Amino acid sequence: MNDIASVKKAFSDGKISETELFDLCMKRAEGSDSNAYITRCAYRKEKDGILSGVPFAVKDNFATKDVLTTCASEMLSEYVPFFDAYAVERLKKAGAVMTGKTNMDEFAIGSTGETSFYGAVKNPIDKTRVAGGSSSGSAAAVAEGSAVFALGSDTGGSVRLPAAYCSLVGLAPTYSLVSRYGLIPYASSLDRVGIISRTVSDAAIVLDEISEIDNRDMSNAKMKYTFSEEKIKRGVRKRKIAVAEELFSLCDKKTARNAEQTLEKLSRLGAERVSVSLHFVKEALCAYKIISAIEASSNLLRYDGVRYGKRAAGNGFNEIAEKTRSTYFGSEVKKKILSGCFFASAYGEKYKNGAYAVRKMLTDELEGILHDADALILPSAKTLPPMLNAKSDDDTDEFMVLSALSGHPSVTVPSGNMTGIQIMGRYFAENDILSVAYALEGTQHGD
Amino acid sequence: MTNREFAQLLAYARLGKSEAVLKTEIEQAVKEAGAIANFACDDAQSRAFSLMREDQAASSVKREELLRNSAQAKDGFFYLPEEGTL
Repeated sequence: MNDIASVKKAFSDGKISETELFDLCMKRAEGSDSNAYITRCAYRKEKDGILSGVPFAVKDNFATKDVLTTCASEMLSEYVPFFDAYAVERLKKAGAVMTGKTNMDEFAIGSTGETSFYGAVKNPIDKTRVAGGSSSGSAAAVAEGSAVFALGSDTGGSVRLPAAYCSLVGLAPTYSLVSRYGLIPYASSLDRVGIISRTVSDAAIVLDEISEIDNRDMSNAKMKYTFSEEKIKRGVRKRKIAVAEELFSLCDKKTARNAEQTLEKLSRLGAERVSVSLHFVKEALCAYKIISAIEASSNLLRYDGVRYGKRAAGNGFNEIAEKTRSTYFGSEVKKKILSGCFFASAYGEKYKNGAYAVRKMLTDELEGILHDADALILPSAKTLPPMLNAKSDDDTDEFMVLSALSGHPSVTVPSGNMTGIQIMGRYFAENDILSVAYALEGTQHGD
Repeated sequence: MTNREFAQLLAYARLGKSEAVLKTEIEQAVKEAGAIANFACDDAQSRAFSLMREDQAASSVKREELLRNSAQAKDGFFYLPEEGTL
């Protein structure tokens, strides 16, 4: 029972009940030392629907009614929301059952899953390696089999990178397609609600459920994605697929070989493969760091010991705020806030302007490529997931930030053990990339 | 970055003086950002930068783009909001 369809069939065939499956998931979570969960939940189904009884996990930066929501930070270690985030609310209404809240990088700042107040997440496939971040626990939960799918948030690759590192499917839809209501913000112009699943079809089914129009998120595009099995399975014959060949040459041998073998299938299936160059990859990472830092420093200002989160003792607001933030934020968060404050200040004007210029030029370049091609394929990461406790390489999300900055939809599918390839497409054309991903699904190579 | 400037930054970020140990790492982050600090100064880049400024006044979602995608998708695949509501 790896996907939604097989779970539903098992239910209808009477092979397993909904509560038995939930208990099985809990046993798997308890028996695993991946540290995927911060909070585990008891079985609770709100109503019957298309996802009745399907267990799902939720990243701990989504507000969940009456369930602890920490963002993996000591700052929010006692925060229990009184409402559900929009995506969670939708899944509960569809009958899905929440297994728990998953571990993550603190406030989603990180790409290895090691900056959590609750400890690092281990990759279920190789426990000596990281699961990727920041939706590390969501990917680990699906990979270890304690959830059929999971919600994550993708700011600079936080859904797609851990999905690739755990040999799963990770979907970051077009920016603003899914309401961010109840998602604790990191960088608001980049944050997207994303899905981690075992199959491409599952990602599409879940996206269908969570992409309804929501007026509570002012940035919501008010568009509806509709899952269509026919469109997902339409194949790639005679479709023009752009491939960023140069980026694959930057990958290590194993990653590049796995990717190439996967891409060979494109040609066999009749796709027209064209090579393209991207000119702002290095600058994009730099721009991403600046923009995300500026927006994070602003979003994290609310944690001052008065409005949200824990409070340290002090005389007057300024002392309370300083002591609270210094005591309860982790080091990575403080660094992000400080650099963000610098870039947002008059001292940082030239860096900020440069970052926005790069963002614009990158978006224009991607728009041009996707005007001529149905999809753009690039690597998910250069290497296998880093070893735990190794000095994390900031560049692990180098290829992920491209779609983050431009807002194009992007999905990663496994190309081998702990490696994946990324497929990017036109705005609001999710079925285009999902159909390419579906065609390439199941072509894992190497070991 | 001078110590005084960093102290100002700490105050702006509402962080305590004990975070002064992070100064070197912030300086490193700023140094790395230097790679694009002058990006808008080149003529071609400057034009793109101006376009970006113009775009900021409008929605980042282009209606033409939505219509184009919508036209490709049949049977009501997308819901398109009324003109002017984007």
